[in-house]
Amino acid sequence: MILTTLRSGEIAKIVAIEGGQGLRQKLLLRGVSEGSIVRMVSSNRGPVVLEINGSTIAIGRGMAKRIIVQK
Amino acid sequence: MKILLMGHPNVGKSVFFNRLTAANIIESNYPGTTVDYTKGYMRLEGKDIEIIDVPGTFSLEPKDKAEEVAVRMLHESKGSKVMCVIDASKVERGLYLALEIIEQGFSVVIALNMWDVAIDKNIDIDAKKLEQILGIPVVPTVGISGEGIFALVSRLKDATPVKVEDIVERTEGIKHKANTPDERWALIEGISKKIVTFGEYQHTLKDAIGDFTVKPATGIPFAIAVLYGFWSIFGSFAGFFTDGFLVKIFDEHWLPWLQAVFPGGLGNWFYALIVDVGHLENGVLAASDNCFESFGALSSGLFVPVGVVLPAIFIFYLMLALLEDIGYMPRLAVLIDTVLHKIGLHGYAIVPSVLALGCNVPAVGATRILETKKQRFMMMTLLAVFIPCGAQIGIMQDVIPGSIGFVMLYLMAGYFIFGYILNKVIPGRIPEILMDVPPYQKPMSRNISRKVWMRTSGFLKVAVPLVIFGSLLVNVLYLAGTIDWLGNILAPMFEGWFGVPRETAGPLVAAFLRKDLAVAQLSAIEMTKYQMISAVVLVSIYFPCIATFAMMLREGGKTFLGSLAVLLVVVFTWGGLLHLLWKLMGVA
Repeated sequence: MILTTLRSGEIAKIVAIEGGQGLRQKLLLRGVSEGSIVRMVSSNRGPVVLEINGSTIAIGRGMAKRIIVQK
Repeated sequence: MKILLMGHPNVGKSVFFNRLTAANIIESNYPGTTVDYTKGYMRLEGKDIEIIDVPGTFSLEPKDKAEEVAVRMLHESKGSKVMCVIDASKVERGLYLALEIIEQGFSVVIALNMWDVAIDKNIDIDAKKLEQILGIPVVPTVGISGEGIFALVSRLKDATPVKVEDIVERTEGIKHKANTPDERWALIEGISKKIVTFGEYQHTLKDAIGDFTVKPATGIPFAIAVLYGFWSIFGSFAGFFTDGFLVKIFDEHWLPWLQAVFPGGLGNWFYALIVDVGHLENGVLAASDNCFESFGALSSGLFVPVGVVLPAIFIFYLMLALLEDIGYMPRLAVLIDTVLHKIGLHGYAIVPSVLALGCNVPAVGATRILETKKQRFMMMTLLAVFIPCGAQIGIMQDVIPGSIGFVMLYLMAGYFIFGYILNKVIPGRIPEILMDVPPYQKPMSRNISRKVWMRTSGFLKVAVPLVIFGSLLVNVLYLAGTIDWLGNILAPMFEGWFGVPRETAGPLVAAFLRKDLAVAQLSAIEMTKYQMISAVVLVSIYFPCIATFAMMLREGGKTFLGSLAVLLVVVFTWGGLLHLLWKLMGVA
């Protein structure tokens, strides 16, 4: 499923980042990588806010839609 | 030898710098506080060693102007040692930058900073093992308390260049080299498997508050409450000191004393410049009874910055420092992102916008953290035109307390409407927000007081001389008749188009030096409440003050001409529209 469909409080694992090298690298540098476990903080409106390994990060919706997760 | 302090944004490099050099530079709990490098000296074994606080960068492929500065600094400093500061709770991403720097042949020491935060998060890191694998010194540190910094400095001498191939070999299980990003990440994964264990993360009350204040449903009402609280405290604090004490001191003691002891007296040109120009009462020149009307360099010139603006600036910077250090700004950025996207900016633009409410000059510098040229141009232009600075807001509180809300709203509406138009007209990409949201922190009183002191004293150093000079200049121009001449020539424009008295010419000249002085001078001109609102709006949107002007020229280069063009359009349309509005309401 796509990251943006996760509801607040739900936990999932990132399985893929669908995008070019540029996007991947940008996300990797912020700690968003395949295999990471994420907790959704806010996904209703505006940027998606995630928690990964205890750190919080905000990601624009367009980018977040390229991230595939599995519950 | 030279030492570069490098690392991701918001890992505490500036805290290190202040500790190492006993210097005073601004530190805050959000990324992008340092956008230009700062130099200092550290005493080590009897020698002074140059140390440079480099702006935060995620990698050596720069994504914005602050990162470009970082990469350029590194390339210009061959042979230096690099102190790479890594957030211990985010080791992997920090190691990427460290590997890139090592690859370039630099001697590196690694500070695993915010070690305490990592422990809180149940993240266990084997620093010894990391040191072994990398072959360079690795020291756990807690920048804000100073823990580990001495150990780090003492290990500087052990830093030598290492080969990435050797690191690959020591990591074991990695078959390839580490030349491409993917290979580097694979190496880092190999290293981190050996040294990092993530324990169960226990959520605390702090995290619950963090979630609550960043989700739109709860966060937006909270943000409105915060901003409303900010505004109320600002107004009542500044009012209390200005009206309660300082106005009395200046009007009842300082001005009469000056009028009594200064040689010359009313009508004397030198006395007029320094103390009191006086005003005509039934054809007779009469002395002023307050510092707003006296216009003298030592009366109005001191009263405006010290008597009116100082309390406002002080309370503004105190509250801003609290919001910054607690870590609220990035959350505000997330909440406002959707709105700002409609005008071609993203949430992070809130940082320069809020800084501009204090002073436009550092705000123009802060636009460096925006990624594209389009965004930087838009942000710089919008803030210089539409965001009044703290000094101006402070004086407006005192001069037009009843209409200040309207002025602020009208300017804010202009910010959004012209932002929307500029976004449509200017070609260029708008990247999406991608930002770390740091955990809430208890603000340290030492840091808060230092920051407030630096910004407030910075204001006094710039404002007092400029306001005094501005008062003198405007007075000379009055005495020489230049202001009247200008007012008469421009009368059709002032009276016909903007609907303000022709005498507004004087304050508009002053506005080029200081906006606070300009608003103070407006208060001495006879006009209706509505004309006053128009005139104050004009002072705000017409040319930025000279300090902002210089900063825009420096930061924007050629795009500055574009900003000027936008500015002219705004002055005539947005200023004229207000006159039209008054006409429709039947008050002009």
